[in-house]
Parts: sequence; C-alpha cells; structure tokens
Amino acid sequence: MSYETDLGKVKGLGSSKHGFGHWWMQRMSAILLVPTGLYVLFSLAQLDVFNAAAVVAWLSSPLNAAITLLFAVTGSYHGALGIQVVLEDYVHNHAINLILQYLTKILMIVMIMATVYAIASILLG
Amino acid sequence: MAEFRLPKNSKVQKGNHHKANGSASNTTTFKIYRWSPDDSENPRTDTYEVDLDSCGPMVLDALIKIKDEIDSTVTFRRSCREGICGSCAMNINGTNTLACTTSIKQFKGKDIAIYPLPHMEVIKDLVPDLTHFYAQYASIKPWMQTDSVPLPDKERLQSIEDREKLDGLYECILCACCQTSCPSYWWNGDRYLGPAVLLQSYRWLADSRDEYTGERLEDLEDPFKVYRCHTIMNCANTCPKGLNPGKAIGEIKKMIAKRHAL
Repeated sequence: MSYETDLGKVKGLGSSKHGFGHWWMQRMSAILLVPTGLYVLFSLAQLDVFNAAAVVAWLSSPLNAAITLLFAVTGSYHGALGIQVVLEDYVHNHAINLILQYLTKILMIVMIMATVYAIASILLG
Repeated sequence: MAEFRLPKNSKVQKGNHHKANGSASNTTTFKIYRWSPDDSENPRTDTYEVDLDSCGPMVLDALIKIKDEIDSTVTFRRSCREGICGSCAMNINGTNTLACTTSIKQFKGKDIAIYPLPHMEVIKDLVPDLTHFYAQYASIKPWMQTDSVPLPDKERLQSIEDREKLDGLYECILCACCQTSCPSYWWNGDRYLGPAVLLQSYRWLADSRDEYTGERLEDLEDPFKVYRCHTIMNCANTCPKGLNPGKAIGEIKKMIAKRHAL
C-alpha cells in the first residue's frame, strides 16, 4: 500500500539529464559502419576466404588493416549500444538487467581487444 | 521481462450473442470486449447484431444504439460525438481511433471488433484507466511558463510565422490513441512519456512565447523519458487527427542535440 500521488510516481527520480550521448553515438557509429562495412564485404567477396594465406596477405596492407579495424571496433561498439537498448526495453528485472548490461560491455571489450591483437600480429608479422 | 502473453485471468473468452430482431435485413455484427470489476470472471467478447437501417452512420452511433436498445450494461466513454473531445478513443478492428469519426460503412459489412485502448488497465468494458497518462501530461507542465512580466495592457505577441510553428501540434485532443499504439509505451509506459505527451511537450518547446525551453529540455533528456522512442511510427499511423507525434519527438531530439552544440 502506498499513498504516493500519480504525479509523484511519474516524476519519480527526475531526469537523469543524459541519454543524448548514447543516441548520438549510435547514429554516428551506424554512419561509419556503412562505408567500412561495404569495403570489407566487397574485399572479402573477391578473396577466397577459406584460404588463410590470402586473407592474411590482404590484411597485411595497412589501408585494409586500418579499415577492417575501424569496421570491427565500430561494429562491436554499435552492437553493444544496440543490445543496451534492447535490454532496457525488455528486461525489467533489475538484477538480470545489470548482469546482462555488464556482460555486453565485457563482450564488446573482448571483441575489440581480439580484433586489435589479431590485426596487430598480422601487421607486425 | 516484458510480458508478451495475457495473464490467465485476462484471457478473453467467447461471450453472449445478441441477435437482431427478425425484420432487420441490413445488419452488421459488433464484437465487443466485455469485462467487469464487479465479478471475478475473465473478459469475454459479446456479439451484437445491429440493424443499420435504424442506426446512425458512425461506430459510436452503433454503440449508443446497443446500449439503448440491446444491452444497457455495455460501458464506454463518449461526449462530443464530433472528434474533438477524445473520449471515445478505442481499438476498432485493430486500429486505435475515435468511434465517433469512424464510419461503419468503411468496413463493408464485415464484423467490427471493438476493444479498449491496448495495454492499459481496464476499468470496465471499453473504459481504460488513463490516470498515469494524465499524470505524465501534468509532469511536462503543459502551460506557458515565463519570467518576463508583460505590460498590463498588452497581450504576449506572437508573429504569424511563429504561430504557424504550432500547427500540427495544437490540434492534439489527448485521446491517447497514439500513446497506446506505441510498443515502447506498452513495455516501458511507467517511465517513457509516450508520443502524445511528447507531442504536447514539443507544442510548448515550439511556442515562441514560452521562456522555459531550456528547463523543459533538461527535464526531457533521459534514456527513458524521450529516448525510448525508436521511431516505430505507429503513433502517426493511428492518430485520428492526422498528426505526427513521431516527427515532434524527432524535433525534441534535434533541440537536445543543439544544446550539446551539435
């Protein structure tokens, strides 16, 4: 039983005064994913992707490596932002939401680190 | 988790059928959601055959005829019968709209299913509980806020161009059709302000006479209050007044971006 007024319930804890950054970065990363994604996709389509040596040779070019890195980092970041929205939308259990939000960020960091490591080791031989 | 299925005691069951009297030749069947808080029964859909030869042209006319002549227990809100009060907002054949401006003819004799506005608590039959919606509306301070004192013998002036910025906003009648058509509002209606309230919010942001634009934007910038809008656009699709709340929310996002120097 609570005698909280309807307006009190709606006002709740007030505005967090953030949310724009997330929204903006989601759009900015989406824009960056279009050219980098197309470049990587078209390049890979011309390669025999089951031939490791050919892919490594392609990635050894600094330009290809840079664009692939940009694509992978932006993609991981954009994906994490997107999953955050889905979790906020649908997972209303506070504890589960927190755990999944945490795991999402960890996954993003792991993916970025793995990409950086893989490309660096190819470039640095 | 968000609930995608109705709880057991909300599952809709088949209800009673009310036949038109024998001499009626031009009838349409209305399937109406019924639920009463006075018993512990599940909701049901009752069907009513209505003689269109002795009925007005709109769905609201049929509802009033059903209540007057067939079943006086059918409960719904109505007032102006001309699309300006917003009372008779309900879900008619899958679309949130006003019963008073929806013609029976457009359904070409097919059955017409009438439910209360979706995903709201039901008070009785077609009457949803709009308490939370009205509190959300109150929370955005829907009135002109100013610090400057106007001259006692003058109105607050507004140019014709500035007044035009309110077109497409001031016409909103707060019927809650858009609000209750929005999936984001279904899942997070406790915190997301929803399309109707945000359109009203923008109506004051766009008003050249209001001096609290900054404070209003500060109050709105929140992952839940505004940014639950994922531009699904059911709001613009369903608005019985032809307004576009999705666009108004986009304008709010643009104003917040400007505050951040972008």
